[in-house]
Amino acid sequence: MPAAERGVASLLARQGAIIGALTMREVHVRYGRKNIGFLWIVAEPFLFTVGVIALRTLLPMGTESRGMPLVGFLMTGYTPFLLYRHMVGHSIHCIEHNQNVLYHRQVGFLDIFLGQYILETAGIVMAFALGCTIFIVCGMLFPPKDPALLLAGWFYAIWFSAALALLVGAISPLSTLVDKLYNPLSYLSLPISGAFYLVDWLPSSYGKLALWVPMVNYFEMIRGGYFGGAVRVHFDSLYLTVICLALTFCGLAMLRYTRKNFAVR
Amino acid sequence: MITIDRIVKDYPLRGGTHRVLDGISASIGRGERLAILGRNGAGKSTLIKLIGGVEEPSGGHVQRGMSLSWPIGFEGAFHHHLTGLDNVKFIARLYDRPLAEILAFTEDFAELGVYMHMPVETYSTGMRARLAFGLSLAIDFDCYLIDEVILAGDQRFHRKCQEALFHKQSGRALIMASHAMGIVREFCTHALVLKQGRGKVFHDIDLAIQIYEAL
Repeated sequence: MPAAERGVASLLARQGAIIGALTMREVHVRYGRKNIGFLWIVAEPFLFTVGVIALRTLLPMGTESRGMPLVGFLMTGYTPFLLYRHMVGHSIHCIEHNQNVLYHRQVGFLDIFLGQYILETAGIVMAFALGCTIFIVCGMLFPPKDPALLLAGWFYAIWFSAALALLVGAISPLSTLVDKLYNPLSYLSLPISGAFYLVDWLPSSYGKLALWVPMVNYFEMIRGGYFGGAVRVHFDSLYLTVICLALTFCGLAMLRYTRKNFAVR
Repeated sequence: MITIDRIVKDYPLRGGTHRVLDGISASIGRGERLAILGRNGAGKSTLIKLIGGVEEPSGGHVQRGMSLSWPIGFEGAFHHHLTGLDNVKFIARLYDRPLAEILAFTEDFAELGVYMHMPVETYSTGMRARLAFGLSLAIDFDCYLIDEVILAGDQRFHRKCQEALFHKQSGRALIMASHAMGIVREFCTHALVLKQGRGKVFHDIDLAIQIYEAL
């Protein structure tokens, strides 16, 4: 390997180690060393799904939802939405909460965010995989029909959530407006996100409108990937890619600006 | 050699900007000890943060030609909800140093005993200072950036710090913001006096102290 390449490789390895250390630290800060710790992040969506199933069984509404087993419909809706909520929610004032690591000059703003996103992603994806496995073993769900499309859907879910969270997180130290707007907007995004409906269920004019919502596109991919031919899905991965790229670019640009203007206590 | 070259720092203030530092230059070589003097609000802590790379300057450059500690002060560097031990582990990873060695040295220097297993938020200022010094000495930098904190802690801690940092045999360079003129007069090789955003370096410490006292 030429020297320059080796230099870049070791630099990347060092930065990777720093992000890893930040991820581990975040686990300790959030979950501590007591009781099941990190496993809470895995348990939470599972508990939600079991809770809804229990309610639906009590009110005799059945455990099927238009060709999809209800547990599958809930898991494929709730976990990606949770990823988005956790990423954006934890990004707000993330810099202020982690000021102390900025005392170590090898840590950049982006490292702090990446450390968080790795933790959120690992937790939620594990929750999804483990939850589905348990339901499959119990005979309440079948394995995914089109794993490649399912993975692609999750890839966009992670990218979109992280890019949006980065932008929101980069603005939040400079404006208190962000946390005022976050709560109403985040509740509003639940019904329109596509977490709990399919585009095909809507009248076609509304369906076209819904596809302008970036999140709807990846929820459709995840549903199509999991349930295969049992459901008809609609999505535009090119549109989703453009949106994600634009958000990433804006987020990084905003982060540079905030880095210049942020006063560390 | 650490060189700061025409550093400028603006902070937003009431719709406009307020210039805290306006073209500060200084340099410090191996084994040299620079005092930063100035009244409260003169920009000492801001300058320390800029030299340490905690914040970015609005203009000018900082060149770090030797390893430089993080700014050691009353605040910062530790996560308050985490225990002393967890903070040490995290920082050892951050600086890519072997944990066992770093931990042994830190425990020996800081003498925190069982408090290492308590969250840092429960520590007194003196205990925090001991942990910060112990840990930074364990990592072993060429140059130490110190913001006031030298006054915290008890006699025994002062003596240890002086042995480790100030004595010429230690060979360590030092950049220190301080109001403790006794320490400055005894140990510093030159001084940067700050006033209203401007600064001047004096190689005659007694003269620098006279000027500081007249500010």
